[in-house]
Amino acid sequence: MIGYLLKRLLSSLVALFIFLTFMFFVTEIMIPGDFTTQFALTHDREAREKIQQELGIDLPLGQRYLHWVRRLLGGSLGTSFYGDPVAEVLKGLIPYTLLVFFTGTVIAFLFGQWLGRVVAWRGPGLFSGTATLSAIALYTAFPPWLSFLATYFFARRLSWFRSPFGGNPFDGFRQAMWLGFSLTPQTVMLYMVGTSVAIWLILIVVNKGLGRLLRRRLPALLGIPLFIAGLVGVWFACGFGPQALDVLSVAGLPILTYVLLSFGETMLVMRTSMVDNLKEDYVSLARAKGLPERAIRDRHAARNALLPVFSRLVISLPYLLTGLVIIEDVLDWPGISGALFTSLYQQDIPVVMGALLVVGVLSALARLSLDVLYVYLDPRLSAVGGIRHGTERLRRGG
Amino acid sequence: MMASDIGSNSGRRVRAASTWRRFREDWRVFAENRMAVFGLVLILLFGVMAISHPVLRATVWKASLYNPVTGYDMMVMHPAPPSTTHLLGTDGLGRDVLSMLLAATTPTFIVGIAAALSAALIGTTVGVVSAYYGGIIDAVLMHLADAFLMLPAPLFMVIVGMRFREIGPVPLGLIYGVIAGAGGAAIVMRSHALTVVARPFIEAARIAGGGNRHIILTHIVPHMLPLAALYMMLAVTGAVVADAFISFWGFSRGYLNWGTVIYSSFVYSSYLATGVEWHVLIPPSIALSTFAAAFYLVSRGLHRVADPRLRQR
Repeated sequence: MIGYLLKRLLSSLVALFIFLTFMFFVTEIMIPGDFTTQFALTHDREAREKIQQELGIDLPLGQRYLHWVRRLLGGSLGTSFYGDPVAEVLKGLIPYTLLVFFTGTVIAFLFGQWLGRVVAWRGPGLFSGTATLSAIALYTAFPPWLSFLATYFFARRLSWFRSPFGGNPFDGFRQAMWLGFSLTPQTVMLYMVGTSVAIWLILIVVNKGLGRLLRRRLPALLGIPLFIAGLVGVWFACGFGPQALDVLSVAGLPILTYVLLSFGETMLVMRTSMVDNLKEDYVSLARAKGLPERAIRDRHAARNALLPVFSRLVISLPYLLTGLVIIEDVLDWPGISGALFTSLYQQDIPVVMGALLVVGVLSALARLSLDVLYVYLDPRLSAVGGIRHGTERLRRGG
Repeated sequence: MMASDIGSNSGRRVRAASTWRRFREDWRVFAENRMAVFGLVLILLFGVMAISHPVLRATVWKASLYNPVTGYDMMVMHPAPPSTTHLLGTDGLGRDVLSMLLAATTPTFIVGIAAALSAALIGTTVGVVSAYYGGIIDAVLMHLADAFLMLPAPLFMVIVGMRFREIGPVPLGLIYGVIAGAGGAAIVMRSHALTVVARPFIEAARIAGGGNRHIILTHIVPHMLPLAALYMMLAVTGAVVADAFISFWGFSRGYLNWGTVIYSSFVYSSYLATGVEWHVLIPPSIALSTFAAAFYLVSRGLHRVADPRLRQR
């Protein structure tokens, strides 16, 4: 298992490097002009040449690439052409993206597989038809259009969330709440993600313990409120409760939009594979043994049905990232994508490369965790040492 | 000489008949999925939309009023709400929304088809070559595919749009297709091709003295076609969204598409500053989403056809 993971890690590092190299040359060659072009109206040629020399962008392309590689291997992302270290710039933005990507992907996955499971279990009917059609409609909706609709309904009409429209990231937050507060919104976001993971793990352990001791497990209907209550409780206990809720009241909109956009695929694949699994002999056997319907659905059929969902998710990762990039951009959520587009326009290459690195790492990490979950769900793979076979199936896609 | 001619001729006929039978069988599996058929109907509807624009302009619509780029109606205030002369109203520059909507259909189809073709071509080539030859070629190609899987396509398309402002629908679609085909499609195609390569008839063909090229083209590629068709449909969905996205930001100006109309609903909105023109925003957004959904529905039907595991049931 460890050896396999290391191999995967190494291979994703190679892919990451190829991706970054490709993008380096694409941005440098394809976009006309360079960083100094934007000063063409205010600076004369000599002044611009001086800036070029200072920033080292007068060097030949190959030399610039080698410089960049050397810096990257040395562990430094370089400095932005405006003078700030890229790592600092990104540090301020990553929490925004991470909050939406992580929370959104997890919620979309859980909701999608639950809905797919229920729809398959119920069989054809009005509920199933509506659910399937709306999943497809949301999944293929033009992301900016979905963002407008979400803003209109959930922010303007229902005022569940405050819209982050307005440019300045702090416009959305309640200024007064943050003024005398020791933590920045970014830190609070990181804490929020961290505490969610921690409480999730605790609940899993408790559930396992309950299963072993009492032969019963927490029903999902109880588990979800328990999770939310525990989470909010921990936030207040740690002293950033009001601020965390404030973050959520703004972040809710991009998260919700992202979930709406991306749960469809999980749901559709889950539905198909669940329908197929319900015809299998082992489901009939479970029924003949007299197991409760819920146990057959959730523990027998769904667990097997999840495997194609994971393989499909690997392939649709770029689609998820694409959705994330567009939504962040349209909703003015100050994450990585906004910086990516802005620095692309300004040709601030170090920041572009740093932001792309983050996108690539997010994608690689998501893939790695899918690999781990896949092996966890399908013990056959780790038992026989047939992990190679497993990756073949993983790559095969839905 | 004679005998061999007859033999090859009848062989061809048998092969044609079996192809036809296979196609009919595929169609039966496809048509079982009512949603996929619905998607096909939607695509036909968009085809009618595409054809109706030149017809309407030639017969009913006056050029000065209904030109999708320069049309202007002197008789109403712009942007005008829907009325009998302008069924979907006009935008802030006085252009008829329905006319723009219909005019944008053809370029969208072209982008989609170009993307579908290049995605299928690249995906099949990379997947089959990688699976057939294995070894170092496989490793190199798959690492490249992994790298492409990290790339959010609209970002790349925005760069393309920045560089080539007047880019046409064909090159745009081709570029998108290459990216989509070299990433996810190639990975899935390769693993499917691996299962084909392992089947006995490939070994038989090799023993019979078939060259690599012959085996790949006549024995492997036909088995990849349903999967290639599936990825063609998915590429259409992705390409159309990416294309609209760059026009939505006002980058590509080479041709009219639904993203441009959405863009105009923001940028050329009312002089009274009432915000977004909803009657300009809604039709292209719905058209775009429905267009993408139609191809996605068809791809779900094709998925059933392509996956032999699902077929047996």
